[in-house]
Amino acid sequence: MLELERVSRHFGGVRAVDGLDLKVRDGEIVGLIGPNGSGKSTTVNLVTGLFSLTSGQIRFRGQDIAPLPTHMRLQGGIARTFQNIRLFGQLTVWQNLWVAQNSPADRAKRGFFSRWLGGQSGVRDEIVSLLEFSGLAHKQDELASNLAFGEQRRLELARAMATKPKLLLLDEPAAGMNSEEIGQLRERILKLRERGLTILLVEHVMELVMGVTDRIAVLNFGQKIAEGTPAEIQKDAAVRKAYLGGDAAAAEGGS
Amino acid sequence: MDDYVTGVLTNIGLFSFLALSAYLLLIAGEMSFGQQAFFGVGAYSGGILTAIYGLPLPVAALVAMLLGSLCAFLVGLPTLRLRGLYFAMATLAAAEMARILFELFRFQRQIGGELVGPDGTQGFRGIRWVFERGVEPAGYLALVWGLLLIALVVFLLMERSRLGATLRAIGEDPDLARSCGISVERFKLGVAAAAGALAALGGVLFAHHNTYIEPRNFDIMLGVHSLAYALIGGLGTAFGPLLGVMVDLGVLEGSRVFQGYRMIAFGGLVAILLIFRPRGLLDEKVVHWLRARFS
Amino acid sequence: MAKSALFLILALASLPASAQRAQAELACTPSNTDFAYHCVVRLSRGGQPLPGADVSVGADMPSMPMAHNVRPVKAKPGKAPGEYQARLDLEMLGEWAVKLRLRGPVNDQLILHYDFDEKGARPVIRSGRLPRK
Repeated sequence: MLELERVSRHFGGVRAVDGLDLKVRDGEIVGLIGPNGSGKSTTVNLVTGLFSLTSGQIRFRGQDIAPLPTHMRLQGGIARTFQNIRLFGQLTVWQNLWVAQNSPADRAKRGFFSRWLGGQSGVRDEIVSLLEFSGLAHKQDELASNLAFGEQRRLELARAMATKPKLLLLDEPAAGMNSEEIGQLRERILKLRERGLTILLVEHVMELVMGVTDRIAVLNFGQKIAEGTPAEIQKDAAVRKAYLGGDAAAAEGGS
Repeated sequence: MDDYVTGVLTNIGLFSFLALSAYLLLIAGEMSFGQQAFFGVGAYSGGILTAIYGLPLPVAALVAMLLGSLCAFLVGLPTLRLRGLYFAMATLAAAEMARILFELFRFQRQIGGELVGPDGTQGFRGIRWVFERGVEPAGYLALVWGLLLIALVVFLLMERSRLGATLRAIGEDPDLARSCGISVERFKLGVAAAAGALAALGGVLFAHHNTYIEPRNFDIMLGVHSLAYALIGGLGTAFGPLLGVMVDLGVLEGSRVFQGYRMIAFGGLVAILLIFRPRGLLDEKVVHWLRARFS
Repeated sequence: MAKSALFLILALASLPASAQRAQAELACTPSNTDFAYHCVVRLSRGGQPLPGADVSVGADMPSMPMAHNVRPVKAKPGKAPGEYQARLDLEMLGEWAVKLRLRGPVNDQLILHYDFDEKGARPVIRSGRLPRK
């Protein structure tokens, strides 16, 4: 599904991501963990094209996507959420999902004019089911900026789903959540996997990462220091050193 | 209605086209200080077509809108690569270049025993189509407001559509819009072209209302005002820019208390308003609240 | 009298001669009120005075024609045929585009550029005009 080959991104002298190799296979949930500033979010931004590569290759379903602009990658089936919640605050919950429907399937469904100027018929069912999935049906006409924190997180996930992705990049979706909310998020992620989605989960919250992922890659200073199953990673000496020796607070599940 | 009231109402209508033009770019997240250039393109091209080539006003208006739209598209190609303040400065520079081109532009023909056409800094006299057809000020007022009403209806429909929501999405967070699969650059170019057409339509109507235009009519003041009107009135609905024009031309004109000091009063008003209501009187929250209450 | 004669400034509009079109000259003297002027408009057509027209006189500032304008006033018939009198109440000194709206024998609008100062008004002659072939 997604292959990163010797991917690097330097900001001046800072090697935010440095020669990263990473493979995400179809249907897998892969965790990407590491201390703050280890290059996790940069990796997500490189895959979605918000940052350009310094060197290396990114292939999505066998195709080199490095030259594609962000919106093309998203139309191709990559969706994401953001570490610091990003929503269209002046749009309603409904509109947030509506404007995200840009997948090739959605574009093929209706003609140009009816798609842009026509009403909501034909897309209603999908949005309704997304709202139900994320428990936001009763808030559909609320402005996104008026939602509570947990609701905004849920809306972000629903918005990413509205683009009908094949690969979902979740950038710290559990940040700031209590353990009940984390439990609900976990259920949702597992449901998405049942639907056939491939997920790359960037997360600090070990409770979530250890519970849902098939494999975990650990970054430190932009480099991969370990990769393996959750059980292997928990035992890995290098990982323990990076977390406990480098930045103990991050390992305690802070954000 | 005397000529004075008619004149003020016509001016409100004419300014509204320009304010709507600035508003359209603002909701897509771009602040243009150069919409007066396309107003000027519309005024000059429309004036030439009726006064020199004898075309009827509606045809001239359509051609002028196309031309305004094309110019705005071409200006947008390089300038829309810039962000925020840099875009604002680039549009201002482009508009000043346009004004200087108007000053150099001479294209006169003998019509009915007199020279008609743009004559550089001497301006362009004799855009008489409206007078030759005996259209009274009230009739012209109806024409201006009729067209404005059409533009408003188009805006209101557009804002309810997915296109409208998408433009606001782009305006609020272009990177997020990209991450939703929206081709931000293409939309912004489209918006610039549409805003150019709208400004040009205002320009054609202005030229035929005034019968005379000159390069100075299209200087930076006009662009600053159109932006200010959109920002005062509010970015939540297309009624916002109209409200902004009315607040300035209507209220201040009506009272006449400020007279020559009007611009100072206006500047102060803008400053105070933008501190307390950065997205104008009718901003998104107010509009959403009104919609929830009355629909 | 001598004073007003001295300050009386006459000028032709920059319109070239034309048989059909009305032409206007403007002469203004300052009044006792700041920025207010007594103006005499002389209308002619084909060299002949043009009496009996309904004339209203307004003014715009060239760089803000839609916002900086003064309320148009109806002109009264003056002493001689083709002459009309009006009081023009401006907002400030400087260049104004005086707007004459004509009705009656002609339906037209004429725009004359005048520079208003303490002494009266004089037509604006802009420099930088290139010679024409």
